[in-house]
Amino acid sequence: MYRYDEFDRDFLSDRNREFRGQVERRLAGQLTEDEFKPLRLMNGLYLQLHAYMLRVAIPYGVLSTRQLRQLGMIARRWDKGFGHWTTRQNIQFNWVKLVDVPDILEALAEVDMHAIQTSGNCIRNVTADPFAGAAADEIEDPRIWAEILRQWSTNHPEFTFLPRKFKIAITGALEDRAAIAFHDIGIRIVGGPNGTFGFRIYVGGGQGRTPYVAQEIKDFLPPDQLLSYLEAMLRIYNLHGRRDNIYKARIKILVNAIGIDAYRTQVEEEWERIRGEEIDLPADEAARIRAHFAPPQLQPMPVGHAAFSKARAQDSGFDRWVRHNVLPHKNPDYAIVSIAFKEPGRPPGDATAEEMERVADAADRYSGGEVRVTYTQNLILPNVARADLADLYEDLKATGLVAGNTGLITDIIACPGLDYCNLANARSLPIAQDITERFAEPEKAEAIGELRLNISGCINACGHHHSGHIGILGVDKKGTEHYQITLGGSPGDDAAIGDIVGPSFPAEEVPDAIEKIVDTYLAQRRDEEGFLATYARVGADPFKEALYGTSR
Amino acid sequence: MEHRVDLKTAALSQTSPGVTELAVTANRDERTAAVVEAVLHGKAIAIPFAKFNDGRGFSIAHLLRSDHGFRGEVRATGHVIPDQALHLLRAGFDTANVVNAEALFHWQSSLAHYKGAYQKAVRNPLMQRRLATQRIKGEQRAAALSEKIAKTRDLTQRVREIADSVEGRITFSTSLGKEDQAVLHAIVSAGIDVDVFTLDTLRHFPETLETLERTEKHYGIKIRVVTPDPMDLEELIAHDGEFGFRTSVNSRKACCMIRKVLPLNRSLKGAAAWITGLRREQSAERADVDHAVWDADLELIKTSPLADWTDGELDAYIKANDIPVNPLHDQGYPSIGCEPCTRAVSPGEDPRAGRWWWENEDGKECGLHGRERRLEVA
Repeated sequence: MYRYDEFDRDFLSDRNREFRGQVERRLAGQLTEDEFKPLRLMNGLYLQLHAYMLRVAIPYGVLSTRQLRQLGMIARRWDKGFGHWTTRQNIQFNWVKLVDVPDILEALAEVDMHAIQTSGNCIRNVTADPFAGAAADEIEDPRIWAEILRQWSTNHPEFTFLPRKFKIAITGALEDRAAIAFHDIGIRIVGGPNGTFGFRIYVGGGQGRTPYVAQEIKDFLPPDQLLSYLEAMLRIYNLHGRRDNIYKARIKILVNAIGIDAYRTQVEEEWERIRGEEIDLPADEAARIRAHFAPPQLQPMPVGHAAFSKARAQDSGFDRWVRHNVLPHKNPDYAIVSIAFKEPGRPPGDATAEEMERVADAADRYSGGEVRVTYTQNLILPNVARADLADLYEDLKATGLVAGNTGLITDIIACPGLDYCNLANARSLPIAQDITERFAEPEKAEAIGELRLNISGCINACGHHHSGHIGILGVDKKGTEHYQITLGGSPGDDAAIGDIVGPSFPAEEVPDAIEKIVDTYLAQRRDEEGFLATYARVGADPFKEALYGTSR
Repeated sequence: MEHRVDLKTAALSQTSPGVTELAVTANRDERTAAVVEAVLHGKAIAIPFAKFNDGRGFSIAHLLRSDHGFRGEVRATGHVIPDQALHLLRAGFDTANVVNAEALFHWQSSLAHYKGAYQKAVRNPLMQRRLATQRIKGEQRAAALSEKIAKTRDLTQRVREIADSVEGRITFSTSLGKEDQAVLHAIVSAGIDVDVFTLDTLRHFPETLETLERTEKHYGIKIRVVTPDPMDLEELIAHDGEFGFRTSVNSRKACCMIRKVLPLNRSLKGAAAWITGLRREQSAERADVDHAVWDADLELIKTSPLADWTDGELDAYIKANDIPVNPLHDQGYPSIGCEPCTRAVSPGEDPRAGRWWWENEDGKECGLHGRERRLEVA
């Protein structure tokens, strides 16, 4: 992973000193809240319902165990002993005090971490495939390019006061596990002629109140021209994105207002003009960053098949965990392991300090000290020898983090909702807990098969409800919390926005409604057909009928 | 009263040219029209910020510089805050409106907050990430070498340490002054492989050229003679005349640039280390000279093995080793440059007082060693 040198450390300490000064000026009344707000936001600090919330960047979801332990320390010392993995591969601390924030940032800097640009109208933390560097279907490691983008976008002189927040995601594998279609800019690494690769660039995706699937703007961009192309894209947006209405300020609105072709024309014209300005990285600097992501030296560790099969046969929990949480690795002796923070009853994505430390222990023992955060709010151990899987499972058992439900209906994405967030209309976490309890029987969840269920507490869609196979959106209906259900969304290669199925439900009716949807799917599906395929084939009617009866 | 901060100097701006205002919504034609008016009438272009977080002005300033090539003053007016100072400067602004003079302090501290920047911008006053790796390594190597040099006072041993520590071409530029003659003696004694050259400005004293010849014979070596680019010289003389350097500091610096600095830079290109004869006792400006530093502009280690030697040590070394020196030293010339620009000094005068003696005391360097911090790129 990327390791800081003197330059990066100096930059971070300069940044933290600057923010400490800004906090002091705010506390002394020399900065108005209006002036302080964008400055604190650019350092990840929100003012929420009950307290300040600090969102810490986990660049493209990659953590060392040293960093993970420090996050645990911060949770203990300055929060209430836990943190929350976010849907953009970050972590949030929900109970920090303003006066403590400069010290927290210093503690983060000790392990080369920060909260820079995790909020505010700037280029946010770049997200990537959580399996990067390990995935069996990878063309090129996207972390290299995510790090290049992280550096380029950090404290950018021109793009720090954009019309609205700006999110970039990148994937380097055949399967999109970074939801690139729902980002302001989505980047897909594609193979080129003679073993080369390039970038296919998408623009204008997003969730929120006006969801769009991103459109292709560039079919193939040579790698050494990524920064200049993005700079042209951002400049056109900065100049022409709407600033009169916060709800129409994202780039998706601009792109859809003028059309992708008109936007492309402007971008290409600007790009032609600036291509000689040396915005792109010199080859040696790109090589310096690439060297940080050299593949780990994995020793051959063939698994004893008989022993492995026996272990699976003896323990159905282990067997299920292997089926759902163990994923193919580039090296057949190894596996990518998902550690689910989704067992029944847990608020999705919440992690205690102790759990962080135990996962760090497991990663040190079994995965070369590396951990990833997924946008689905789980953790990943990217390089586990298959021969160690049974031992790892036993170690995780002690922590309770052995839910074998990755990708299943109980692997819910949820935002913090009205329990924390001052934007929310409704609570998300209790709904998620109710649903996970309804489907707590592992056999039941497994029989349903892969199913993405996402919950947002408001139309801002932090819980990605638009892209859930089943989406749940909290709405305010005459002062009571209600939940609207969408069907047919997808975050992946078949990216789609779910359709609203009908009138909303009060909280207590939601688990029943979800069960009816699931039962309808099970009744309608043919053979191994997934939820989306069934939905595409039979349409919304059978589901409407199950939910609302024939009278509707 | 309206105040403006000059972002490049972090001081209140003294100038107040007229302004032409340019809206943040300006299209290319409108920007062109503003640039034409500003250039014709010597005006600044003011970009008004309705609110500090309306960042369109940053892109407009960028375009004025990079698309239109505008070199005049670009001013941020309206609501801008000190925390944006470096963003403004790097995006191409020169000045910004300040609410009151007391706020200047915050602008100054904001401008001084960062040492480095990750991306290339219109202006690059900070160390850039892409250049930092080489610099960090260079600084570490230079610091290690500096320590080794300081451990001995033996000059031969010192130049040997340089040869042992540096991989790649080592150059030594000699002015044939007594410091450089001492260093050359040490280089020859150490028997190390060094590219020795001298800059012939075509205006040297005859005594200097005689010293060159005498030195080559004395040591049985060839010293490479580097002369100014004839095209550059022709242009300089066409513009300023043969003695233009007497009329202004700028003309003098142009003359030094063409006769010395550019030929030096050409000769140093690709070198890994540069040996100089700089000594702290030579002048106030050289009082902090280090034995070895990383020169980020030249991308090499600049060494000064004589840095801490006293006048007495140097004279004793020359005498003890019978080193040939320029006879002008005995006629009152401690520091010898070009003939028209060097005079003898009286006993007790600053050793470099005889260089460009008609100019002010500050900044009397030809540019070989003293480099101003460069905020401007365009």
